[in-house]
Amino acid sequence: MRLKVVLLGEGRVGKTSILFRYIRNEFQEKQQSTLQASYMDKRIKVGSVDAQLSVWDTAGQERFHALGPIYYRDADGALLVYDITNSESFTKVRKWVKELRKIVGNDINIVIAGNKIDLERNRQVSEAEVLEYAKSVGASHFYTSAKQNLGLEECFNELATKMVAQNKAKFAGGVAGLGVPKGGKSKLVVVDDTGGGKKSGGGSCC
Amino acid sequence: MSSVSNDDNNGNNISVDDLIELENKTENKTENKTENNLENKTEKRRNNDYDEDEGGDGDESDSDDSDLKNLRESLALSPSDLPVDDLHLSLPPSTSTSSSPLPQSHPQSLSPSTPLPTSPLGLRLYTTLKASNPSYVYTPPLLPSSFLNIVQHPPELPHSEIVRLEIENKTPIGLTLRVQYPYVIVHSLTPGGPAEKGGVKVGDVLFEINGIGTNGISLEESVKRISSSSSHILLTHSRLLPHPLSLLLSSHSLITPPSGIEIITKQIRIYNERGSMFGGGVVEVGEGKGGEGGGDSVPERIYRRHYDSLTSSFHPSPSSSFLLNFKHARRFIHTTLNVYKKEYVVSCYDVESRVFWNSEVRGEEEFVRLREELGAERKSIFQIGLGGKTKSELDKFIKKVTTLIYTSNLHPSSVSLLLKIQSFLSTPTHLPPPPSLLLTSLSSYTFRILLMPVFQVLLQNFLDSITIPKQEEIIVKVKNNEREGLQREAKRVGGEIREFAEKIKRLIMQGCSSDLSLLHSRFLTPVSESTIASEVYRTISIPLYTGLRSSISRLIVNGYRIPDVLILKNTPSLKTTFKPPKHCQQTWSKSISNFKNNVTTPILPSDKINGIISTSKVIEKEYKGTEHLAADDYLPIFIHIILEGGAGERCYSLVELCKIFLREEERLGEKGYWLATVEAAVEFIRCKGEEVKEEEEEVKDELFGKERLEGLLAQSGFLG
Repeated sequence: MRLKVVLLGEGRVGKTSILFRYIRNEFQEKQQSTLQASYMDKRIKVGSVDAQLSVWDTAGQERFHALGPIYYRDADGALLVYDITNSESFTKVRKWVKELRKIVGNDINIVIAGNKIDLERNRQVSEAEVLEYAKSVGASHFYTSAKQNLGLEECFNELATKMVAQNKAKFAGGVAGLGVPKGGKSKLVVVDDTGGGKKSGGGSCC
Repeated sequence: MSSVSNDDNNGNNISVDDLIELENKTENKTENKTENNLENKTEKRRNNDYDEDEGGDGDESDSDDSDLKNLRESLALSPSDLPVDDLHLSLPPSTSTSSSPLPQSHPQSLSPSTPLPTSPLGLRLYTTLKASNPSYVYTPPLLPSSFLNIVQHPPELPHSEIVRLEIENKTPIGLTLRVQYPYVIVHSLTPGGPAEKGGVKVGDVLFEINGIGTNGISLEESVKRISSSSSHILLTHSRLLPHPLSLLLSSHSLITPPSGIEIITKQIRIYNERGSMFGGGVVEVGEGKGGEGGGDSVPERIYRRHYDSLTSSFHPSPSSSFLLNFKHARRFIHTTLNVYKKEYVVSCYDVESRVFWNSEVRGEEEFVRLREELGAERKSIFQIGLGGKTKSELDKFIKKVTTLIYTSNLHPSSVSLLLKIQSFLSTPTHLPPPPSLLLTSLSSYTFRILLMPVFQVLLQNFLDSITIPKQEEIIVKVKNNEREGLQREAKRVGGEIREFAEKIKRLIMQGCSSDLSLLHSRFLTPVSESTIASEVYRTISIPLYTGLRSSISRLIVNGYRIPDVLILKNTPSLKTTFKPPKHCQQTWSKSISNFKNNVTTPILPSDKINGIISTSKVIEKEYKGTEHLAADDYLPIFIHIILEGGAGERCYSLVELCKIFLREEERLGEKGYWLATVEAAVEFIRCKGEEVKEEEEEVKDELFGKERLEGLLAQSGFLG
């Protein structure tokens, strides 16, 4: 099962570091290697399901904000990253959530990550506020630190579990999850269900 | 040097010729390339109205040439680049004789003139691309047995049927025929006539008439055969579409004998069309209970021998041929040197299965050196007596050659040639061929499957069936500013092509899975199935896309004219104001030229998409900063590349084209990601990061205003 996860967050909140740490388990304070870290694949097991996460990093600068939909369309999940030492970055999270709900709809699973928890002493975003907000939009919240490798597995596992559950529900009863084009999403499955609800009799090969 | 120039005269032009033909069919009109700047174009348009006939445009032929050159390069298909031959050559186990893995489904199938004993292998298709030049005889791969299984137990496809039509004294049977070489096809039926009553349908392919194959016969001949029957007529027919596989059932009648080698009772005559001065090779012979008249005797042992035409009866006339006196020869590998063209031709012929291929060896110097280095070994082979135990020594020889080819830096075609020879002699491979060869092999393999008549017909039918808005309709839509309609059409046509290619891909992937995995297993570096799939897909889309390319470009370019123009307008100002992040501020000249060469220039959309990934890698290499490159950086860098002209003047259309042809399964993956990045970059330039409603209106006004129709129709314009 291939699942698309889009990484959203303001510039320099640590999206790239999270990706690096999570996929390759690397962290470099003075990032010297110039390996690209913007698209990565990760295989993950959720219960009995083998899922392949395609993680899409996005450009976080404000000037590119309007281009967001190009990246997050078709996404199964979004990891919204903010920097706990930067309240502005959390404001941005609210904006993303609104936008995602508006454009992708309620199907997209959202996990919010408060990054740089290792810098707790510089915290500027109040925990209560964050948790309440997350709850209100139906998102999970985690604290993470790419530097200390904290919370990342949990973050992605939670997201993957949600996505897998949702996809399973979507495809349940469908003729075959395999052949259903991803782009069409749930609508297409519905059509399939009503059209040929029984077993595929013929012409299923194409 | 010489090898390079040889590249051009040799096999490569086959594919190109073939493609030209394809192109010509659907594309009589040449197209403009994107190179012209806008003003220039508008001016031309003014003179030409929207006439598509752009004979005056100087750069057209160039563009076509380069298109073809690109295709040629991308195809890289030449007889000597076809390592896949080994696959079908190796299909019947080398020492097996008459035992065939395939059921004997067509006992009396061969045409009566064939002097050979009937081959039990039911399915064998030969395609002659250039009948005039025997060295260009292609033998498409024998269909692997797994493919056959599908064919013979088609899950949903009907077999071909035999229709028996009883007729009284030469009454007409009520059908007209047409010949679509090499098929005889039912053109029309007389309502209520015997043929219609018998279940024949328009479009059926007749494989046999009264038990005699119809492959390649003329219309007159086929009519004569039918009308000469007095009491009944047996027609073996099959529906063309949508049941392509059923065609294969009767494909035995499609066999055409190989040219270049002829069997004259126990002797082999090998024609040297090129006036060879040297010839020699290896022959595999079976010895044992050779039945003289039976024809199906089973030799008990197989030997391999080297022979040299100088020591055989050899007639050194320009179109020479010579006879070999080997009894029960099974297979030959024969080398000839054309002294004039300085090239070697290696031919292989399998007597039993009648599989024949030949291939020019390019990179002659390497080959000569190889021969020299092998001097000592060669000598020992010459000394092998005819009755000696030659097998192990020959194996040793081949192994030695193998090692040499793999360890020295030889021309790739030598390697692929070797793969064939190895396979022909059933010498196991233990050394990895260069990885790039796998892709070449895959595309050659696929391409040769596509060359089979059945697939040719299939492709052609698809191309014929697809409906594309005509030039006039496009003009009307543009006049009425219904560009969305054009966009929808582009998506529909592109989608149909993509799906059809996907279907064929699945067919080949399933049917030839054993072949493909065999090919795959020769490579030590693991290659994912998706790599194989996308290579197969790519090859399929070549003939498909080539045929429809101009139509699709026309739809897309006209459909997305407004954003394209906006981008052109925005570029100069953005160029001065837009800056990538500090650590990414460099010229990126390599990345720009990489984008040009690998995204903008290539013809196939799938190549363009791959090109984007390659550019992302070049960016990584060219990057001089120390921080990790991240999405925050890639997007601005791509914007920079496009601002600097890397994507040509129709970058919006370019992106849309790629999006249409991006396969579903790639959408969420790496290809989808990088395409999205380019899309975002283009979008950024289009709207300068802002809302653009007003500007869009402005452009529309402009397009509708003074220049109105002239500028409106963004003409043809390849996205290539």
